[in-house]
Amino acid sequence: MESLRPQDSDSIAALSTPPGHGGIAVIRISGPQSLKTLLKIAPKLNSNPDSHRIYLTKLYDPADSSLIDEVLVSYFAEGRSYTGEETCEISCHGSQIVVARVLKALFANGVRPADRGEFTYRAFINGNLDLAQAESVLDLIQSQSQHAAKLAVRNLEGHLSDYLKNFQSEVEWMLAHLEASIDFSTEDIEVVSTPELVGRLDRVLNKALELRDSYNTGRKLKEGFYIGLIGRPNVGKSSLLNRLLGEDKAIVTSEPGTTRDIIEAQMLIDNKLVNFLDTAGLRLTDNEVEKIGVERTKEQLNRIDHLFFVVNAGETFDFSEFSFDLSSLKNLSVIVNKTDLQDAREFLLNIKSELPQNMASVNIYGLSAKTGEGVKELRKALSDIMSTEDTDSQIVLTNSRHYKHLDDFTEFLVKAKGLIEGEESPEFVAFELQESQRSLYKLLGISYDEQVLDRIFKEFCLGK
Amino acid sequence: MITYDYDIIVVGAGHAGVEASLAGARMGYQTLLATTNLDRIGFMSCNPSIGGLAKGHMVRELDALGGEMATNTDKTCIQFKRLNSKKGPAVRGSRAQCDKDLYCLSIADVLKNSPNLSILKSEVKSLVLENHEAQGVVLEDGSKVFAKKVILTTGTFMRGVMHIGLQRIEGGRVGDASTVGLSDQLDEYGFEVKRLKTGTPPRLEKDSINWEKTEGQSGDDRFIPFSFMSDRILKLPQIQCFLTYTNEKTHEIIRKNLDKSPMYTGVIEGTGPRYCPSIEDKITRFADKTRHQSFLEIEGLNTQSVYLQGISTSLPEEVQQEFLQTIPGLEAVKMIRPGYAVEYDFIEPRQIYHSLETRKIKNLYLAGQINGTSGYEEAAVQGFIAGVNAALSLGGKEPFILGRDEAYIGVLIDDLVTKGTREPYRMFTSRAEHRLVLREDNCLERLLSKGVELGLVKGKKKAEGEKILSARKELLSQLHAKKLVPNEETQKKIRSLNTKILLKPATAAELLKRHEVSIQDLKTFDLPIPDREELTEPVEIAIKYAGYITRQNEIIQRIKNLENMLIPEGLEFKAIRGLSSEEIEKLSQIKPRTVGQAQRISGVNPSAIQALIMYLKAGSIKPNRTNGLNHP
Repeated sequence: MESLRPQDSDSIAALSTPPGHGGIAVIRISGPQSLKTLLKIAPKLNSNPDSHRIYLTKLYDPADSSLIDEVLVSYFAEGRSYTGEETCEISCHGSQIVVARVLKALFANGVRPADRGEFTYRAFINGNLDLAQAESVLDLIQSQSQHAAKLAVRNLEGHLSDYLKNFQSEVEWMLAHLEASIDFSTEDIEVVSTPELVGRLDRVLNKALELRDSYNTGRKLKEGFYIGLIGRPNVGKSSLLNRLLGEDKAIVTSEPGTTRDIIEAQMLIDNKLVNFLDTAGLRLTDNEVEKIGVERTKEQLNRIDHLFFVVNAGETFDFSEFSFDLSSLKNLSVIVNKTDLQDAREFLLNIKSELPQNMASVNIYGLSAKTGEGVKELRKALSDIMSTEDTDSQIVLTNSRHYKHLDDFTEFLVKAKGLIEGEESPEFVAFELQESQRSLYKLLGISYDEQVLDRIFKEFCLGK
Repeated sequence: MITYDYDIIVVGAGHAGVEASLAGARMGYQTLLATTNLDRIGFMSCNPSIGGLAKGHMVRELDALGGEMATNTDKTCIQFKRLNSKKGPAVRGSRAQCDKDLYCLSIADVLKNSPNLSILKSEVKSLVLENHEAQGVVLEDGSKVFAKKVILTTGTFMRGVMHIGLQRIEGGRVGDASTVGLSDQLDEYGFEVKRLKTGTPPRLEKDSINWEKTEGQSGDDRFIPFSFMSDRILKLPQIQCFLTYTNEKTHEIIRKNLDKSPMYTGVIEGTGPRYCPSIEDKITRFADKTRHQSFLEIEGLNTQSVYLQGISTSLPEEVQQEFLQTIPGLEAVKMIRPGYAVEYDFIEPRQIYHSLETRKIKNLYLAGQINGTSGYEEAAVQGFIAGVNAALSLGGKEPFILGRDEAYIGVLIDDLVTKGTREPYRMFTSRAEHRLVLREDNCLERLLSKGVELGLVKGKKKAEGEKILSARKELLSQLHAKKLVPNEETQKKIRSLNTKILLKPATAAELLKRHEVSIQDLKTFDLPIPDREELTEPVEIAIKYAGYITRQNEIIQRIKNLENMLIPEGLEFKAIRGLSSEEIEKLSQIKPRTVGQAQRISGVNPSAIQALIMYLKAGSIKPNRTNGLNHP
């Protein structure tokens, strides 16, 4: 972090595309020395380039005058770039050796390596982004589905900030009126009436609650849906998973999830990210239940957006094997595997009557992991389950930090409303509104909680 | 080597000058108070009251610290009101209407009998300055008086110009000449000198008013003295004030004559207070209002002079006469003196330290309207702080600076020094972000020990103050200790208080938290509840509002982190990346001591504060530099 020490003369560079071999690689340089440094290794480049224009040129290593690569250079003038500083972007060939030579030459001639998130940090410091927008950059980099990317872009464009700034100005309006009713109570001035104040407050509160509650949707779009597969060990969960994944390219496997849960597999269905969770904890012996605890089970269940209960055609099943009441779940479907077996059809027809009464409306899907029969239909069903939450028109919260502060914001508004309705003195209402304001300030990054900022910027990938 | 005639010279004997000279003298330093008019020491040039919202707080704070204004107000009070008495405890403010003549006489008496304090009738023409250090003053006869410290409390007198209609009269107040030399000299020394404007309403002849057409209003039955040392029984007979209203006819006359108003013809350049607009302003800006209220306040027990609150004006005298006669009760009114506007010089207050010493000239302190404030109370507390700090400095001690979480006085001075002001600065409760803990009732808790430490609260006053504090403390712990068990006897008593019976054992304090239960009600549980409200009220508030008080204190603690983040002296703000040139200029000028203070400077944006914090912290953070290739 030492390099975050802001210095006017400081210019930074880093690879902005993922490392490894690719068609092209983009190296970004930002700071007042950007062009000057680049000219040292690109002697043929126009020394007075136009902003937002692309130039074809050759890069040489000044150390031995050897040619590094033929590249495209984009130039962005100060005040017109992402960071707000003079910026050059070099598109070179995507070989690790080329990239390493370009960077080495740059670092030897006046720029230093950028820290994680430093380009965005500079954009923030130069006032090009507010905090919510800066975080959206991170979301965008990390987004793994089109929907998540769309949301991040929307937030980056400032839609979320606009929304929050509207809250801010409403709260300021209310505070101004309350303060006037306190400090100018002896003057013959018209101060806001209680119904008008409550009306205004309600409007903000309802909007804020709506936004807050969009977090669950937003979280699903950003992190993806969490699907659990549950059933006896021999019901073919693994082969079912393989079959599902086999039809789409699995993105990552066995990567730790954002909670303690283990993601077994991820896939995209209709451009939406689906995470399959390891649900071992949900089917436990009594001993194990004691060991891990019921709380943990509950936590895991809360995490899961939809649970598939897998049974084999022709086999009996027992709900008491689970460490929780399976039948009470709303987000549950039953999958009958091995429909390729004889009598499977009959089993499928009769299964409804075998289920407890409160599960009468549960969806049942038959498939064969072995032959692939019914897998397409299951994927369609998954897609339907996920598409109930559409996001085209509204603003959606995707970030847990945003959620936390917005939740605080609404909580203080609720308190303020209670005080107004209880005819409490206006300075207490003002106090709650000031607290709500502080939550907004934190959300927008216009308070000075340096720890939050440190954390946010640490999460950024180098070169962004 | 100079031979000093005095330790401290105070120039001007308004409310700031009075407190400054008393503080200096009482702290043991030979003090000279120079004034042009011995009859107007501590004169109330405008309205006849002391206190009000947030202002009452400051008067009580001053009392706890050892100032004089509270005592003098109590002595000369002819009507007492607690404003916002129906609202919460933090925003209740005491206001006293005083007998103007008696107020002056009484405070002059205090000064004349004060050891170490001399009073001189003379105009101060200029300062004796040497190498950016103040060494004394030059009097009107050209003679020099030398002192180690000089405190300027010249009010509206620096290049003061009065406007009545399009007529311009040099002077800081009717009947008193203005001073010209001082601000020229400060100007030459590179001080930023600016203009402000204020106004005062006409004074009316009592016997020419038809009082029956107005609505009389009395003060409160209960008198809560500003000073904890004052008797709770008022010395003087109490009077009423009288409410009346302007009307469309009044407004019509004013509108027709706006071209004769110096403010509307561009004659006045100074900025006036937005919270105290002239009647011309009111009818122009709030054109749809058909009437404006006004209180007729008689300025004393033995005077004909009546103050027409809310109707300050600088229209020509004959226009004032004309519109006044349209107001109920004033049909045959005679003016003693027309209303007028005053324009005067002030020193942009970002040029002084929190000690009120100027940054440019050592040993020179500024207090009161010269710093751009408005109001007797704002002036008095600054005078006090300037006097105290001049004295502390003479004794080689650190300056006395109150925090924004300790007193309204701290808020006032920090605002002036950090934000400056564009209009006459008046205190409001909303300026204090920690309002809920800065109450009138807990001034002693907040400040008495500081007054004792300064040596300004001593002897009988110290003993009485400490007695009150320990009695409150004792009562508070008794209420927390007293257990109420829900037996039949207790429940019966509780029922008699018209509140719900206890479901489980509770302390008396817990019961007191209920809306409908008052501290006096607790007497029924054989608790020794005193009758004296100055003992019970603060305890009752501390218990009833404990939740808010705790939360406010938590916020104060959180903010302290920024207040504790020191900015090294001589820091080059230029070197910090991400600051605009305006921000660099402001930070370099004000030189904030802490990040907390930097954050309050207007025009310094949050991103700049972030950059500042990053810059300050950068040195202490371990390097974590990558080679540009270690993409995660």
